[in-house]
Amino acid sequence: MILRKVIRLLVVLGVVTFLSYVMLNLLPGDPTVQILGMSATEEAREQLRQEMGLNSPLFVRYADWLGGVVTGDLGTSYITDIPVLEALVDRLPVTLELLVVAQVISLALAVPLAVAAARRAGGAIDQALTTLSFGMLSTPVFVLGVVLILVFAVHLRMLPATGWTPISVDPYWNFLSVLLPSITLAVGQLAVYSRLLRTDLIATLQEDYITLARARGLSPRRILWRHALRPSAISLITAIGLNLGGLIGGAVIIETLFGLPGIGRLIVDSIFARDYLTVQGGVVLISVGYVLVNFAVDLVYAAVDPRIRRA
Amino acid sequence: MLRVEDLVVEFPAGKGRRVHAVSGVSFDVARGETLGIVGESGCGKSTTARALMQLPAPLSGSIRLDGVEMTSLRGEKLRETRRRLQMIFQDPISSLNPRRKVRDIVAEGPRVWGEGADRVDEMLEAVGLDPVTAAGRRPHEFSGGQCQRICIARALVLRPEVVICDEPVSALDVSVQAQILGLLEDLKERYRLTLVFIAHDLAVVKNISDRVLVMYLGKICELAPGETLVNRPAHPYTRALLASIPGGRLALPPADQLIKGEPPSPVWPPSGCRFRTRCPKARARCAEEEPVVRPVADGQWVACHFPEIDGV
Repeated sequence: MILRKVIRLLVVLGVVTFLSYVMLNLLPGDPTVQILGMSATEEAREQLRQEMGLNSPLFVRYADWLGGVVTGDLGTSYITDIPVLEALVDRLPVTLELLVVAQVISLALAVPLAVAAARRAGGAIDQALTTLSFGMLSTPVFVLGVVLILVFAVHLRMLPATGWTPISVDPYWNFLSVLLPSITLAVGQLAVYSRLLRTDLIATLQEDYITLARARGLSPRRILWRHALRPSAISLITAIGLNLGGLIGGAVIIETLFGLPGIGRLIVDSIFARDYLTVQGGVVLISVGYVLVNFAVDLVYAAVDPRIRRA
Repeated sequence: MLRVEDLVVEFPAGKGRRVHAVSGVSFDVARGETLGIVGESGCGKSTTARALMQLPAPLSGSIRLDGVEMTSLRGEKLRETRRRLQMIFQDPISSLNPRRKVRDIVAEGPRVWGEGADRVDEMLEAVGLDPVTAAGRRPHEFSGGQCQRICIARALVLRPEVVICDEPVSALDVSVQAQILGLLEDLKERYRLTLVFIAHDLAVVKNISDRVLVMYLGKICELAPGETLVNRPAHPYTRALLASIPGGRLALPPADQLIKGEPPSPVWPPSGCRFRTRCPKARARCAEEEPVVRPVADGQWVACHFPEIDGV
């Protein structure tokens, strides 16, 4: 079972990195322009291309790069001269903190809201939540982010508008600087999570064992939290897994809007700079993260529903 | 001890229509008795059973347990009273929370009611499970019959007075059915239970029940002691049910001459007698006037304008 997962991970990595390699090379533009500037002569650029190995065929370059990856060497950026691994390790904590705080906020609100809505399907709370969810889902993050900045940073002056304080420098300011971007990210997820959980809860509450729990005189609160919640969490866990995996690189808009030095920003900047090696490193990181998170999700399934272990 | 009067349960069916699941059913169950309820799928048997527990509560009608009106109970009082009635369902596997271990499943009821779990092992033994090996396992590790035993243990550990068995053996293999039925009869003796036993199979019900209630499309057709019902069925629908059992004792015409077509929709039940659209004896009066439940012989009650009083 573990071996199969590892093989799958390797196949995914191979396919994803190859495709991104090909696509980057199809982009118009030339790293030598970025390095030497617009005024460099054609000879100088040709010489640099030779040195960087950019003139060898695509497959050879990819194989070269892959050989390095296997030995743990992601290369060194042509543009910044920083080892790719170092750049990634430097940026990763920002993105991870953003993701974790956003998940905590959205789950802490989504679970109680879903339980309250499922308790009376079609009732006042349920309908209010449905309306609110669609509102939250249809608000783009860049609009929501700007509004939040306007309210909390510009008018109320409670939180910093942009920028990042590492946790090692000042935990309190770190928390303040992660708060607005996390809330912005959490709102959309909150809507998705509460909808999924609500629907599954309503289905679970129709099960015979729930009726029988009521017959035994268990309180509605106990039935909802102790009997219905965990078997209803499968879709929710799937969504969390996909979100966590996807957002490692997908928080680009948030990171740009709030000026956070995360992985998403790094990759986008590198694409514009034709910094192929850094982009490739980022792709590897995202794929590994994605596969690992979903591997963890598979394990959680079995803990939530023992029947899955046999399947 | 349990008296049901004029029970009505309806469900919304969209566009303002309603499913008339149970329409004006009345019966009573004596202490220590087994009342069987039979009828085809959708006739309101299970809805009646669940309405007894107020899960969900009926639209109207009265359900009295030892004189206590259950339909007007709310909150704490309702929870306490519900406890005296327990249910066993058709699908034992979906009746058990898949996450929990057998011991927790059986022990949760007493724990919620502030009682110790000391009767759990005794109960597991009573239903024929070994507490040592079974208690630590989860439902999916058991067969259907064993799961049904767990369900029975979970219901009985609360010391109920009435146990409502809703098709408790329909999902089980025939060999296992007999074991579970035998177990229910033993436990009934041992714990002095009153049983309401629901099945679509008259053959199963007639053996275990003192009296049998036949339902059709939310109405009562016939109520009679098991023997009477089998030997002298008065309602045309009862006769059709009996004729469909292979090897029946009565020389009845083939079932397809006693009943025709499919049951009508409970959203638009027929006027008058609800069985008239499928009854070979239906006449004009059956469409105009609804037959009331009336006694035709000792302990035998029938809702039909033209019952077969002399047997066949």
